[in-house]
Amino acid sequence: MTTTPSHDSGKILRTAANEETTVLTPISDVAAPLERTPVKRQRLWIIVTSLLGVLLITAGIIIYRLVDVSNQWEAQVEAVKAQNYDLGKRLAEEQAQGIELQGQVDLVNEQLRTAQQRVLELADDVAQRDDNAEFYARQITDLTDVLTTAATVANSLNKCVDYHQQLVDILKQPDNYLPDEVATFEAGVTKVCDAATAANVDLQTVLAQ
Amino acid sequence: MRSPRALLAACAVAILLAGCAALPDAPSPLPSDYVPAAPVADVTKQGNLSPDGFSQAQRMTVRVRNVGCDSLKTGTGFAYDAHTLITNRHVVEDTSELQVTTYDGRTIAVTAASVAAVADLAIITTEESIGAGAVLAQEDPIEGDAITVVGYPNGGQLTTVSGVVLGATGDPLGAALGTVLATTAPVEPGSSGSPVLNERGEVVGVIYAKNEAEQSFMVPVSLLRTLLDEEQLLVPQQQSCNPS
Repeated sequence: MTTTPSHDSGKILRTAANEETTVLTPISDVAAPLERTPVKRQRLWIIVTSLLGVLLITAGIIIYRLVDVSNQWEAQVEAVKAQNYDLGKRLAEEQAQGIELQGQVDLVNEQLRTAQQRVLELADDVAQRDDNAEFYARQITDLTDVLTTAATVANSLNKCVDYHQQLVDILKQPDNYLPDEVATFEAGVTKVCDAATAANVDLQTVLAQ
Repeated sequence: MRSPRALLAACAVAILLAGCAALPDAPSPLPSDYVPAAPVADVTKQGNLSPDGFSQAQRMTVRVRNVGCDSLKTGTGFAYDAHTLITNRHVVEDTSELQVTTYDGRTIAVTAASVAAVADLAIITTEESIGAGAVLAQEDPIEGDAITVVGYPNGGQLTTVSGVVLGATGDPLGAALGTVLATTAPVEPGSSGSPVLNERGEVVGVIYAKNEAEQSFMVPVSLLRTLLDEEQLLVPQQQSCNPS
């Protein structure tokens, strides 16, 4: 059994083989707390440490998870942004094409209106031409009728003249004809000439119209 | 002392698990295509335009030439169906030949004509098909209704004018039984027989006269329907000149 003086706190430790170390404290010294850790506190430390460890691991997992999700969102945002730029570009192109096509549609509509107006004008020209054709056909028919009437009148007047000439010849040779025959012939001549004259008056009336 | 600590630890674990449950999810995959499907064109909503751009009203309206025994006059008519035209009685009277031309200058041969005794209306049948006919309205228009008249005023170009219905009145010419309708649509000689259309493009009457106050008069569609339903009211029109 040996006794070793303590240089630090003045405590004297006695050490013996197979003997538990016992701290001897002088009675005159100030009472110091016993350094032995209780079992309960050790268990508590173990639990707390374990819990902290679990929390640390869990926090690490969560952080990893959050970083991963954040990265995925960031990647998707970039992808969406790229698609938006692409859609915006296509939209601008479509709008430009739409404006160009609208201009072409307006031009075609104008051309269509012009063509429609031209069709209506041509149809009207055709109708007016046909009206005129019918009118002139009617005029030709009327003139043909007038010419026929005039020919008839001329023929009647010629007969009248011929009959008058025959009457003159008869009157130059009164001995060759009976008075009744001469009177009858003269009446016939007068009738033919009156009819020819009346027809001529009608013809002149028609021509005057 | 053990119970509160254990409870605290349990709460901590619970909060931790709750926090894990509140973690944001990863983004779902983006769609491969953002462009919506192209809408299918509805051919039934392309209006009543023909491929040449003329409206149904213009296509069904024809110019009637009456080559009379003593005169030449023009009027207007419109297709009721592919081979039937409607016009005025006074347009086809005293005729030796009727000639019909379309908006694009085509001439349609006329086979027969019939006139109505109860109204200034006549029916012309054609040899060739005119095309799609008119749609007759179910009811007569009333005062204030907007109308459109398509015709050949003065025998000239095909013209479209508009106006409103003034109301029912007696026939100023005494040619129709019952009442006729007065309108503000400006018409001229040659417009006789023009179809009067409502805002839906249905025929609501037939123009037949005008007065000095520039009011036009039309035979209402109800009378036209009666005429079409009862063929005995129609008298065949002779197309020849009487020597008398």
